Amino acid sequence: MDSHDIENYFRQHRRTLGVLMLIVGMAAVSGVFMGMRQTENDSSPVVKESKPLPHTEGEFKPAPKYADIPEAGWLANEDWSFTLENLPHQPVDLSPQKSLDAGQLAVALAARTERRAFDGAPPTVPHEIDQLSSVSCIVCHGKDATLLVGDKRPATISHPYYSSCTQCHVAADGLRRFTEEESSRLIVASAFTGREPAGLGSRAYVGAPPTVPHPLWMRQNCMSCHGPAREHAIKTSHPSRQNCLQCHAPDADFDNRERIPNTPPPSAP
Amino acid sequence: MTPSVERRSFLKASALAAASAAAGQRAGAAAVPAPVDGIKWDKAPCRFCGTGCHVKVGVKDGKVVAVAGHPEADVNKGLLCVKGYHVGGILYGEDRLKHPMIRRNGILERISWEEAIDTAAKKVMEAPEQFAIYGSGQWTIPEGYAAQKLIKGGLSNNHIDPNARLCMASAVTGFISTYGVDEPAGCYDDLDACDVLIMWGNNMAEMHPVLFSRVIDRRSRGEKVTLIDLGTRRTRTTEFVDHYMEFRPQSDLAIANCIAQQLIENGTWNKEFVEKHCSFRADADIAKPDLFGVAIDFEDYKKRMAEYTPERVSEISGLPVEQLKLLGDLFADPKVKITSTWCMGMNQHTRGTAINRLVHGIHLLSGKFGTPGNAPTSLTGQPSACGTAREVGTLSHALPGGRLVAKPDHRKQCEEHWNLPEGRINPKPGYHTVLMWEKFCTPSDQGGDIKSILVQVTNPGQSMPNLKKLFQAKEGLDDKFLMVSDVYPTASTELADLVLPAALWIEKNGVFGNSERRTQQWFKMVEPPGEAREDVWMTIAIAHRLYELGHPGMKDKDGNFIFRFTDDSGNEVPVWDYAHFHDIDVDRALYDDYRPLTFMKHKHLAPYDVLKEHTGLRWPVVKQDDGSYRETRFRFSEFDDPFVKKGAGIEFYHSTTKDGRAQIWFCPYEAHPEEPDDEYPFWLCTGRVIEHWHTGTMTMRVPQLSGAMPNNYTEIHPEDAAAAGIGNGDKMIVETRRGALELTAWVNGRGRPPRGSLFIPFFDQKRLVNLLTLDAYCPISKEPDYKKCAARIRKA
Repeated sequence: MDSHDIENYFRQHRRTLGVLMLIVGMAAVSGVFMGMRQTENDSSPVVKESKPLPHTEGEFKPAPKYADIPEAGWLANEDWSFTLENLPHQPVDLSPQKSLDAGQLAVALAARTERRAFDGAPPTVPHEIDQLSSVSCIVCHGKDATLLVGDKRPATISHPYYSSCTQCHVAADGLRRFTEEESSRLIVASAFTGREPAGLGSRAYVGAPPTVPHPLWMRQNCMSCHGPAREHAIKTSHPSRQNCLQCHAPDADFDNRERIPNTPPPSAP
Repeated sequence: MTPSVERRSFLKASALAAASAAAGQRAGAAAVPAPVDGIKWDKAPCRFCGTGCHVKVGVKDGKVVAVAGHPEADVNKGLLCVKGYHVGGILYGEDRLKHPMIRRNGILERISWEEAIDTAAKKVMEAPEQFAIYGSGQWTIPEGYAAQKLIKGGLSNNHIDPNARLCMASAVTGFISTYGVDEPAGCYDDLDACDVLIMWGNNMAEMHPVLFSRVIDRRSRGEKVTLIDLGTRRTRTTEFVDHYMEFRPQSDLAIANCIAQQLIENGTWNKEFVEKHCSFRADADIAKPDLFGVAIDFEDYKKRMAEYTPERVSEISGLPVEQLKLLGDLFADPKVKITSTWCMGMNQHTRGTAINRLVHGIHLLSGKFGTPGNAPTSLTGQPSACGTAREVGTLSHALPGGRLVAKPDHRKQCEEHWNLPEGRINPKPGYHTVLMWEKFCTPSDQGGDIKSILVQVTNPGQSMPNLKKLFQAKEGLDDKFLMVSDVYPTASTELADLVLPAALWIEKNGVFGNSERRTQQWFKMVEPPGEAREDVWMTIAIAHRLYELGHPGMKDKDGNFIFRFTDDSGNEVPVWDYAHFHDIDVDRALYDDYRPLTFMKHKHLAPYDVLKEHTGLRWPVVKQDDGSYRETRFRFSEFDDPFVKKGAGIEFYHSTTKDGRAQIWFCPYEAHPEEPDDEYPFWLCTGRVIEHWHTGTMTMRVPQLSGAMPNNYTEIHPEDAAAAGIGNGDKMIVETRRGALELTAWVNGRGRPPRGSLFIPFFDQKRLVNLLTLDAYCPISKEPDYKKCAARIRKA
């Protein structure tokens, strides 16, 4: 069939094709509206119940000015619940777990390395932060590990006695939409290569509990990182056992000791 | 090594250091087992701020691979801030300067070190009296000491000033006019003991985060400590405090006076303390204030303070009367221990000396001084602003150890110590920072009598106020010659005629002095890249070339080179030749030469060998009967300071009035020279953010830090933004009488200025906020005000 034939074909079946197109178009438009109605009735784990939307024009409230948002209620969205109390909690499964296989371990280590300049550096924050207040960090990271934010569980702070979180942890992509074009920023590559993770702890014999291959400083809550609910983490296979250091001894080799120990300075009372 | 080394001759000690390792590394490594993973750990103070945290640096295969907080360090007790944890990364930006360069036809071309040093020396030789050194509070003590000796002892020229003039000069004049001697009497231990901490224009959570944690961590331990943030915008600090007191810029003067007024009016001042230890003072002529003023009596002081009632000061400052009374009541309560801290908010102030005096004054008037937890303490922004700028005296009017060029006996002491002919040191103070750069940027035929400047360890092309006038105007002045020693290309090297690549931090030996009088020492751990070399070597090499060219000032009384170093057999070591620079520990030799000069003002620094064994010691460090050395935490307090007369309790033994008393000053509230008006209705404030340190030269090369904070912005109040039609994230123009800048608006950002105020960080090399700032300065300290000027805005 050459192009001439195609033209003839369309000319002959113009009416049939027109009807067909109309049907397809109607289906598409109604599909869009069906889809929109679908979400209204959808049951979400976060939004428990929602009021019916206003139906007449007068019931719609004006959106707040951007500048007023901090003080304004969210008006039309006032039912939207974003308080921590309403987020779902899902208890952690404490039953014995399968140990990570080599592939899972590699993924876990890669995720860990990506967020640190070197093994021992404070990890950067992989999400947007409240730039002003550390309280907002503690709201999620200070809770027990049963909290679910979307499908993620926040890591529980392992050193709760330090409360100025942003002193050490900065957002990896800090300014987001306030970041200038690359062409008008100072961008310099770095040749720094940090210390790699030490790998597995040592074992006295096959089957012996491995030692801890990192310092314990600021990592007193082992479950912050090794808890059973963490994604992409080096998880414990036996979460029901809570006293980790009973079997896993810290290794003094990782204490960053200087070659000459310092003596404390002489000082007054 | 034991402290008894102190008694041995300097020659033996330096020979010992030389013998231990060519690069000045430590002896005695055998006692400790082999390092894990090939990582060797050694101690160093952090490279950044004046807090003076000690870090442990992990080095493998000649490169830094890890950093940890030093758990035995008194200052930080194992903790660091995000900059400190990433301090190792500052060495490895891929644009490190590796070779000396000279500008030919507008382009920097690589040259040899011989040519670079020769060029520098010949430029100095052309007009030695028109040569200046612009240094830094990041100079190590030996670096500053060498520069000081070269210019004042060698060239008989006092045109040397550090960037610390822009940073803590007002704190210095505040201390000297109050106590007769510089630097805080208290220390960080006050933060562990105080009941109330008042932060005067001081965003400690971002600028001195480790010290801030030291206070707020007490709450985690169940202690009660009340935090008061006296500020001009909401910051991360505000989020932790009990009372946020937001005042109108410049009205801190009135607030301090209001506290004094209430103490007097209510009769709640500490009469016993004041009668025993204080006198009163004021400026003779407020239009022409000077450092020492004139004595006034209590009645006069009371009369002058009387107008600063809470009601009137509430009108000036915008603080509610209740908050002013809360402050007055806290200082009135004899049981409450109060520590005040401040940094740039009070120092970068056209009345910087006045506000420093007033805050000391209310602590003295209330007797909240000299016991743990009661202290007025200024914090410094640079790692050795205290050690190098203030103690070594690398200021245009000063000599080492608290001496002044204007005093004949001080000049004589230095000439004798340096074995120089009498009269070598010029009695006339040199140009302070703003004047130095103004003279350099003014054509020679119009009175610009500074021809060449050597810049070390600082970046004036970004950090000077009113940059167009005080730096960029150099462009096109062909008879002016700018020499910049730095580690990376900066706004300063952009205009430099000669660029000298420098060794950075642990690529060299060093000694720093932090905010609490703590002297800290470290050794070189890694090699500098390419041909980068130590700043102290550059200074000595230029001096030696001048010696060869026949400059008479490069010889001492006996005709020897002024930087003569000898080995243990007394043979001269030619350290100006880089091949021999590491034959001895030059740092140690300079430190040992400098240390005796610190005794006059009772700033006894610890011997080098004692410093080596500690994470810093707070001077005066005094030898005990058992041969050990003991540091001093609370100066002027009998229970801790060995120089206080027994039975005195408190003694200000360097009192300006020579009677053991401190001065309580009266200084009036005065309006700022550039208050907002109809044409420029906003206050513009500049400052730092936690991720970046000063001009960002080092921290912008650390991906974790530049990722978190890639560029600057304008913090603006939502109503001001809305009124100007500016949305969050929109581009806006901020304009002052000196320049304009396009920036992104950040509404409800990290800091939240009140209506009528803007804030812009100064770390961003691509958007130089100092094109906008004002070059007006405090008439006494000569420190400019980066915190206040008038601005206007519009949508871009």
